[in-house]
Amino acid sequence: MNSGSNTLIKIVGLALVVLTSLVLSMGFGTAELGYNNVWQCLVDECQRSIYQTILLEIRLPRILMGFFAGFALAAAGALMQNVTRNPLADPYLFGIVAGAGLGATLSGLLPQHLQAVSLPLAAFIGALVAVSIVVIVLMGNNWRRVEHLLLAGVAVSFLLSAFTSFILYFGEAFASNRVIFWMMGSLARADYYALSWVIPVIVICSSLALVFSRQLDALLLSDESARTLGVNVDKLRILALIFSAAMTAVIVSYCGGIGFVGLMIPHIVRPFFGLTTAKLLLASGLVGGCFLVWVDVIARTIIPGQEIPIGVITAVIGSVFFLFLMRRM
Amino acid sequence: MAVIHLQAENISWHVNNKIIINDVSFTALKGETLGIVGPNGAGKTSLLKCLYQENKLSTGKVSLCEMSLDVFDRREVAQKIAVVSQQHEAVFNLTVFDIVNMGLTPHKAFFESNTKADQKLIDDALAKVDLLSHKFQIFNTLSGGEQQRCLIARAIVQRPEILIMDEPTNHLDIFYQHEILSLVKKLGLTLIMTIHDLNLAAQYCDHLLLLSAGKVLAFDETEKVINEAAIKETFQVNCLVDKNPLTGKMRVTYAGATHE
Repeated sequence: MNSGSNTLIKIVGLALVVLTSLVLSMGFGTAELGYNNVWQCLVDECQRSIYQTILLEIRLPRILMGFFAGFALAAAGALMQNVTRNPLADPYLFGIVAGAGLGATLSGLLPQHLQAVSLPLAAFIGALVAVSIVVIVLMGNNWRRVEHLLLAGVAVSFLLSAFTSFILYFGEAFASNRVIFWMMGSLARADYYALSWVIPVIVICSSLALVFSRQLDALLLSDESARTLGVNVDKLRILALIFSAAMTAVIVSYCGGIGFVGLMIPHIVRPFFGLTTAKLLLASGLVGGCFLVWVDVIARTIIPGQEIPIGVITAVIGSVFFLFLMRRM
Repeated sequence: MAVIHLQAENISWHVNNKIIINDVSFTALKGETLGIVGPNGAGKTSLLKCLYQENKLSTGKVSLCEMSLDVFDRREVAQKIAVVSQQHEAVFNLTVFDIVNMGLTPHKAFFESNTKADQKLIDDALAKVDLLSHKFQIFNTLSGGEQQRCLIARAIVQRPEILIMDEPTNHLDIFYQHEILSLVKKLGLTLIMTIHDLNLAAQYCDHLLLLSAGKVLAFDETEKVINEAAIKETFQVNCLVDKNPLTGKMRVTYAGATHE
């Protein structure tokens, strides 16, 4: 059994599936364009300028955002599950979504002339505040127990969500609706400007995680065992937490809450790619990206002329698929 | 002339003002096997953890070839000292290969992948512990003896000078107790291990350190440490010490607890 070249074949196969998905998903949308037009736009020049607007200005950035959001959430989930050795770890458990939600709420409900920062920026700051609270609490505790990371994250989530609910309850109805819709997750905000922020963060964070993959693998047995292998466990874990928090926060701030991807995808990937960090992270990212591209196709086509929040669909598909998978595990 | 490989000088370890390890000093010579024996709760595992820096010393120092361990960074220590601690249960389905591959960690730069030589090193280590046919089996599905051998294979791949083992014969049947101990002795490393069975200690260790309530009661050649009076005092059992007719080493025969 040659595991090295086998994995390479599987990753290349996955990458081909991803490319095919990206192209195929461009054919779906409110306007019926047909694949001959899609193909012509991609390889040559569009027949009509309206096609160019629809495909390259509206659909393509959204599809790319879907792919990178799925990639980031699944890769961050894989990273978190490995460094905490907890199969239930999810990037959202660190209060990131709750913090982003609070930031978005504050920015969305302030009177227009007081809105110093845009909703995505406010959400990003909120996410960072949430992660900082978790990190500060754990530093006081010397990171003695990995489980505390998850417990602190859950506590911070509840606290910040309570603030959000309180503000929304008293907030102006129209603005509240906007924030609530944002929190359910949507790729509608995707444009090339958003992508120019999202892509570098994801590429840098996931490649840094790959650089440390051997050290991260050493953590898989126990902290003590990793230390006897020369790994600085505390530093590495904080670093991994920061990578996944950054990837998640940048996605959450543009796309809102898209649940279950980070938790579910690594579990689907593990039986096929094993659980060492480099393979798991790459494969989870590709599968997660592909998954979200198709979920978004469903979100914007299943009810004609109307869009369903993508977070609702990932939660439904994700949990049903996950329960089905668990029956067979 | 024997060379001192690892030396502990007056080491103590306190937890919440409770003294767990109390002023312990000893040396381990290059290539020898040093056994740490003592009753439950004597601090044997804590003492080992002091040696591989898992427990931060309250006082005293540990040195390697006469250089204090503090001057080495974690990675350099890991290149010299390998640890096989008591059984772990892995959370995820790690394979035997995944675990043995971890042994390369202190020798690899970031992003450096395995070479052909590394693959051979791993296969050779697995062959040595007779687990080559289990290379891609899930660690958690192995028997206790197989898991122990898998961790020893990881230590072999780590290429240390000193191997520290905590109760390597725990949960093993008689065959594997001897199998494991003769296997690690053949590696030719300096070996420091805690061990419960005094007969195994007598057969495989060159020096013994007898520990009780965190203090050293005796540290000497095995033949001098194992005697009826010392065993009676530390373990509270009556016993007879004579020669094992098959091995020529010391043999302890127990009569029962002293208070019965």
